[in-house]
Amino acid sequence: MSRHLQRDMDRMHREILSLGAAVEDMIEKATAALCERSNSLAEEVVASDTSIDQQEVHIEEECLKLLALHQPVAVDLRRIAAVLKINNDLERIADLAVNVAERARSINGYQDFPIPDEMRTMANMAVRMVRNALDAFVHLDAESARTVLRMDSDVDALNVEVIELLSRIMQSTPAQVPPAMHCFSASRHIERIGDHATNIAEDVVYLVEGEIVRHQRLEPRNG
Amino acid sequence: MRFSSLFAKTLLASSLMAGAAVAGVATWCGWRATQTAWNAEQQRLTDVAAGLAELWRQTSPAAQPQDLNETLRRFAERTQVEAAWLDYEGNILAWSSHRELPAANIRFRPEVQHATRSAEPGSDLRRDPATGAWMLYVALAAQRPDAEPGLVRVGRTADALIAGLRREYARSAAVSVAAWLIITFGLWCSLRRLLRPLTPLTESARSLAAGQDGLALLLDHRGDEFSRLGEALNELRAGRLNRSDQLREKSGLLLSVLRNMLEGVLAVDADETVLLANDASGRMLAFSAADAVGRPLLEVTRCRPLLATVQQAFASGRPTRGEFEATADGRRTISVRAAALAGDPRQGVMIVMHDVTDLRRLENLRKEFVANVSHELKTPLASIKAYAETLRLGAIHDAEHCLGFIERIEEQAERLHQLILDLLQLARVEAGKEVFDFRDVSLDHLARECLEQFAPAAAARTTSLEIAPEGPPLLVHADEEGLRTILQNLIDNALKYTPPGGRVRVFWRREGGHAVISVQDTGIGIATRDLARIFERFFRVDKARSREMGGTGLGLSIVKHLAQALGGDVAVESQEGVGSTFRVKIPLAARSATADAAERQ
Repeated sequence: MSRHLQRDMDRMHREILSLGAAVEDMIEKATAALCERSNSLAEEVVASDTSIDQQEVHIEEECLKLLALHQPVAVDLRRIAAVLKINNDLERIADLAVNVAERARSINGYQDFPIPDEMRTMANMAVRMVRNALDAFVHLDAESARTVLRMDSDVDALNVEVIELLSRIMQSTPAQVPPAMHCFSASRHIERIGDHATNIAEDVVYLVEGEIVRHQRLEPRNG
Repeated sequence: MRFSSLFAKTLLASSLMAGAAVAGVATWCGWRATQTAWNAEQQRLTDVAAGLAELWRQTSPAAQPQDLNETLRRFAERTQVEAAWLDYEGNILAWSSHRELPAANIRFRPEVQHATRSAEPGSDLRRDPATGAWMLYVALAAQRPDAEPGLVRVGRTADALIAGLRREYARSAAVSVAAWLIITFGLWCSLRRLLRPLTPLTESARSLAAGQDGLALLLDHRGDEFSRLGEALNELRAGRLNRSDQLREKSGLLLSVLRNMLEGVLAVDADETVLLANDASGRMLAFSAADAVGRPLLEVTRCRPLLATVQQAFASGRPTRGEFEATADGRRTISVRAAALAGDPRQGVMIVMHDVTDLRRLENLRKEFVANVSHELKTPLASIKAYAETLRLGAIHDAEHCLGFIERIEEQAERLHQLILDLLQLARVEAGKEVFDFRDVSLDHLARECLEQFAPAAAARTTSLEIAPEGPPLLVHADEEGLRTILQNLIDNALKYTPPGGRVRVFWRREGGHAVISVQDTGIGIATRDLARIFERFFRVDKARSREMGGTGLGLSIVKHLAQALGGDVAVESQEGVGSTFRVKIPLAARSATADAAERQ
């Protein structure tokens, strides 16, 4: 009985990792499409969304089947719960990546619109957050998951900076308002990606320590 | 464990057996001695009884019981027994003791019964119920000549005898225990000596089994089975050490080959668990090769295209190729070949990865170049065709404009010519076929020539063009034509991109064994992101403006290749809106700059 459970758990692990790898690839491409002004990358991102959705549904079904058939307890139960939530977050990140790609496509119509450098930094940071959160999940490393939680405030700060910068551009050159609006919305999407990465990191902490750290203030790291 | 359980078991068994033997012998001897002692005592009492019977025979039948008692008492005192005369029914006729008779009739006592039934003397050992002492009784048939048959019975206390026997028993038990202890100690010593080599043998065998090198056994050459076993173990160990050394050497060699491969190598088993990963694969896919082994491929690499290729190779059993972009340190294009490992069922998949980023970039460059060349050649041709067609359709009769059209045609033809000349020159320089005539060239002289050539153009654009050498005049070792082309192209470019009223300066200085010639302008400058590409063929920062100015897009590319062919290099520094500085490094002539100055004088 427990061997069947172990086998199904392994398959679930593999599938969630596969989804994670695909989503990582998508946000990577979406941010590259934005920063390098590449339409073809943006198209690729938009095209891959359907398969992500199917995978998400499939993984959710697998998880529910595991719960119903094996009635797992303790760490197995926590793992399935964590996978269910990470699955959800990954799907949302994929949707956000598609949104960013669509914004990138729109901005590419305005070749003379300068994309702020902070935007690149922020996009890279969000990508790194997702990657580190998934790394923490793979290695069951609560400490690195907490590092991801700390990174979120940096992304938020950058988002505020980008938005201020964009509003200055819109005030000074009204012609740049449409691309700046696209950029504005892309920036918010990227910020949301960071939030979902935070959710994943919180799920990892729950999985490892069995403690739900959502809605808790992070104690400052001193010593 | 100091002593093996074998030692304990053997010692226990043999000691028990020795104990049993000693106890058996002692018991038998004791039993024999007891029998002998009893028999002797019985014999003595029988003799006394016989004496009493004799006395009985001599007494007159008419004697009074008091006399009989008196006679009996005297006899008893003499022989230290308890004596009685009985009739044949067991009634006591006379009694030697002062104490009360135990019973009037003692016919049921075992010794009496025995004596009455057989003619033999009967004897019995029992505790006297009155005194509690052990008594040995003997009864004997006796007859006075004239009277009925009767019995005599004598009894004597056996307490002393029993106590003596007990002492004997205790003594012999002590001796037996001592003998058993001595035997056991002897067994302990000899067993320990016999089994002592077993402990190191076991330890050595165990460490060998655990995969450690083990220690060589120190053998005493006793020649018994243990030392032969020890020799065999030592040989086994030496053989194994030898083999493991060879294996270690071989695997070390293979590992270092694998580790130093530029290609990433990965092997996974049928469950997609990593069996092997070299450092290059870790670098390509950004994972740590050291702790990849034993984990699922997807978990380690997080790369789906790679997994897809692996699965395809595993399913089909044929080598499979794939290509994907990895995001480890920038986007790299990785080409991957996967082949199923031999075996039925398939054991796993072997993956070899190449970094083909540079290859793909070069391919793109080539494609772009072909497209660019075609485009550059087509543009002037299209103009020529259009003007010729216009002329044919009637403009040739328009005396006012036809000359203008023909001039345009000439202009475009000249541009085409220039483009083809540039292409040819570039091709020659690149292929290393351009024959250079290396000699000592005076920079001062050459620069002034170029300046004179461009003076009218500069004047027309109201741009100041000047030479400002730093330090003494320099001689360089170069091909004069080549160097002139470099300078011409750089000055031409500088003038083109400097707005009217600007300034172009040419200056040089000595830097080690090289002269560094700089052409500095106050032009529009080049954006940082384009700096790396401006030496590419047909790369133009602003396509429209460049063509408008009659550039072919090949000038800077020619400068770069020429500078490299002359043993130098070219670099650029620029800031948008401020200006650009191109620096060409050319080797100095062997003769010093001062010699050059002397020559000129």
